[in-house]
Amino acid sequence: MEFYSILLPTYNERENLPLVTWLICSELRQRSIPFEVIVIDDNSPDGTLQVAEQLQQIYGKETIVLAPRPGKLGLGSAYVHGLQHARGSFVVIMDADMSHHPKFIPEFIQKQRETDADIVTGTRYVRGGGVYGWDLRRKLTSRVANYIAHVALNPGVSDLTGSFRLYRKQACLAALFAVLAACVERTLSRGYVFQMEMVVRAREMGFSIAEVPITFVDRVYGESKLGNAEVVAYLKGLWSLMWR
Amino acid sequence: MKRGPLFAIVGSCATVTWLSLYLQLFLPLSPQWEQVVSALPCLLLMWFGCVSLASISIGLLSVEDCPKAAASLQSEVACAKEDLRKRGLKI
Ligand SMILES: Nc1nc2c(ncn2[C@@H]2O[C@H](COP(=O)(O)OP(=O)(O)OP(=O)(O)O)[C@@H](O)[C@H]2O)c(=O)[nH]1
Ligand SMILES: [Mg+2]
Repeated sequence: MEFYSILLPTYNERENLPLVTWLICSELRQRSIPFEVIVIDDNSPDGTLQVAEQLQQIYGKETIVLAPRPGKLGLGSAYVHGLQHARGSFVVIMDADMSHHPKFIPEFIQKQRETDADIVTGTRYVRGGGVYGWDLRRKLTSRVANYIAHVALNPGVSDLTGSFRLYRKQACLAALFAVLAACVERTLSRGYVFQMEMVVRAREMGFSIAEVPITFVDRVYGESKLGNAEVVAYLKGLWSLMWR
Repeated sequence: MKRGPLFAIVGSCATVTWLSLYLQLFLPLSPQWEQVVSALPCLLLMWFGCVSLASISIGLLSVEDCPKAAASLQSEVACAKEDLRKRGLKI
């Protein structure tokens, strides 16, 4: 039986972390899938780490691994940091904000076994997938962003900016280092851009990618940000991916 | 090949071809063909706009809402909170 490491980067997720952890444990234990949850907290001012320590007491040190960092250093390096602690041959990357439901992890695993893919990525934009809590503007933004990416990059996946994925550990490391190496001189990309870069680089490197439909329920606690800065960062990221 | 260089090459080839036709460098054009050639870039742009608009509209209409997922999440969250409190989690 393969072992799965689930990476949860957190920044101010005090309310969400216990809930997502509980859901992961109940979904995976029910199916006897061996796993660990690695919490990468960037010294969140709301005390997420203290909550994670309590969870470690409840679920055990084998199941909940803490990989804290002294400050907010960005998502890309958070994944590198988390991977150093990962014991599994596969890693699952997901947001801790409850927009990704752990019930899809077994589906990812099953898909990976069926197709022997290096990466299984969740998609909101095929039959069976979907979103909740998005207004028309948000949907339009997302569709336009995906359309531009398809014209500009031909990425071969239907949902580029989603960040709920299962990776073979080697594939994850290779794609991560390609992304990080390409963006040293740019300010390290956040959120959407980063996820897009990961999947595009992975495909360039020849890793195989499969898709599983997922439902995306927008975060319950904490606010979501999609401002002009994000849009500009996204377009800049697209542009650089077209050339390098 | 990356899409950037690909677009650059295809784009510049198309521009050069079009210019040589428009300026009648190699062959003279009849007045009808002159009209067609001068309208070509505009037509192309309109075609691209239409395809984009159609594609985005189809995408937008096919984004599914999933209130069921949200509802079941709500009840699971309630369950999780209850259970975590029992196990002694303090928030
Ligand atoms: N360790 C760490 N985690 C982060 C950092 N930034 C964001 N996160 C976490 O990464 C996950 C995704 O971040 P979000 O803020 O939800 O970003 P998003 O999903 O792109 O955007 P919205 O959900 O629309 O706000 C969440 O679990 C965050 O807590 C960071 O700098 N360090
Ligand atoms: Mg989110």
